Amino acid sequence: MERLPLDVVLDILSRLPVTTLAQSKSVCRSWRSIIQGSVLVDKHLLRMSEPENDPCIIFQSPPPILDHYYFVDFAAYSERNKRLKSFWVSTMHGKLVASSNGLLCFCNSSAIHICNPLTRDSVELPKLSSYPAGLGILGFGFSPTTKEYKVLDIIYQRKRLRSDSHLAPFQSKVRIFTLGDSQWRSLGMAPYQFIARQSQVTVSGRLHWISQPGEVLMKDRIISFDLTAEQFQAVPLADHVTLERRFFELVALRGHLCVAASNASCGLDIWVIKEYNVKESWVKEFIIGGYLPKELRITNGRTPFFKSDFRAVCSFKGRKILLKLWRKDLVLYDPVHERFEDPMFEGALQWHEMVVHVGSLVSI
Amino acid sequence: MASTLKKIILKSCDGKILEVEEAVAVQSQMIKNMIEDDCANEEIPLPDITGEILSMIIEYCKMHVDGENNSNNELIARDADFITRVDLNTLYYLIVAANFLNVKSLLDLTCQRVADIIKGKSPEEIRLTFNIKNDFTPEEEEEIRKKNAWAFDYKD
Repeated sequence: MERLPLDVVLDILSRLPVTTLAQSKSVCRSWRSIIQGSVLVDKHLLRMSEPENDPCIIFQSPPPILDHYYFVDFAAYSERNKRLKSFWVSTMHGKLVASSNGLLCFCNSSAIHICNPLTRDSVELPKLSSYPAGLGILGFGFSPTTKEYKVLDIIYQRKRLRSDSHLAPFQSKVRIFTLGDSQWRSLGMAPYQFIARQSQVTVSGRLHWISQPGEVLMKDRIISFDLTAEQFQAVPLADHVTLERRFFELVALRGHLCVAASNASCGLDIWVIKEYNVKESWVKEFIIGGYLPKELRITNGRTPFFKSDFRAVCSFKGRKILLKLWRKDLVLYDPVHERFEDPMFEGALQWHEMVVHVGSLVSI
Repeated sequence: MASTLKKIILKSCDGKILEVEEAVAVQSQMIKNMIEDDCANEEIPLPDITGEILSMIIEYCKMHVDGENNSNNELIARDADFITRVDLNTLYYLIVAANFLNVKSLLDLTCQRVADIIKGKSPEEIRLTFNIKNDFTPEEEEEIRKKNAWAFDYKD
């Protein structure tokens, strides 16, 4: 290896799953200095963010021990070693807001933190003047153009003024913080109230949320926020996108924005926008039937009560999709053979929330 | 169509002469640049590449030119077949040659192969595989292990 040109060594190491990369620091001094160098860290993060690389998932342990996080590196999953091992990282930052480009954003009753759970780097953001007030959500993302991490604070103003017989549009107060700055900036008001979900969806340098159906927003309910231009915009659903049930969520699969909607058979229909912001390019790519985890299958032919809460989490190489079932069971769906598989984890995986994460050694 | 039949003459460091169709040779960005600069009319000496390695690279480039109309999956399967036949020592010379000749897809394939070999291995296994000397003191090694315990716990 030491005889290879440095560019080539960097290329090879940037392809390693983050768990192997961190361990490889102890191979020898020259490997350690390369792995800790910012050139490799950036190259590795960029490569691991590509949709063809399998992500990591961070699971938050159930209350009351919210500060334990289990980390599973799907890139280290191989044919030889089919068992996925999870291990915990400890942080004391409260509720997990979102993951973006190798970093996590947490919020508790007194502060917002950004940290890299793998290097234990962490920063506390300046306090928000009216924190924690109102009904709001936080967003966290990375602008690939300006290479900046940004946190968005969107607080819904409860007061909705009536004009004639109609309700006025939603009003949310928007503030933004760029990592590295000293203070929050106001972006004024936005006419949306977003549905609070575990995590926002990031595609093409934009965050995405679903807005509550309001007077002006019956059709354009998917709203994006461009992290570079710092502007909101609706992502229109085409007329041919028909949702069987009212419930739908957003998810990013292989770098594409998708709408995952419950279907009549308690499964999911997944619509994919093949070309970002091109309304006509919405395609119903997957129709997933209902699935019952094996411990709930009973032999007398009766199907137990089955709540339709079946969510897509992420997809892997070979196109398999990780789904989350209503009881927090996880199942892999293979769209090629239309089969379900139980992913194998070592030990019982008890978790409260989960987030798809790109494992990186990036420092803050 | 004379240009597509034009042959490029390559000479390996151990004196082997190989005639290659231009369409195959231009898979190498370096040779492509030489042709464009009109520097490829005589034999091209390749000082660090042996005849054996050069033949393998030409085999690979030919496979890609012939397989242009094949599906992506077929090409991936052929690449996999090509690369798994290669031992670690040959792989090293292939990387050096692919880097020198600037054959992007072969460099990608060979680097990914090395990464796949490293993936999932412990530091000790990596040292053994690549014949790397451990130049840490036991204390230093322990310190790295402690700081990155999450990654080490991952091992079976």
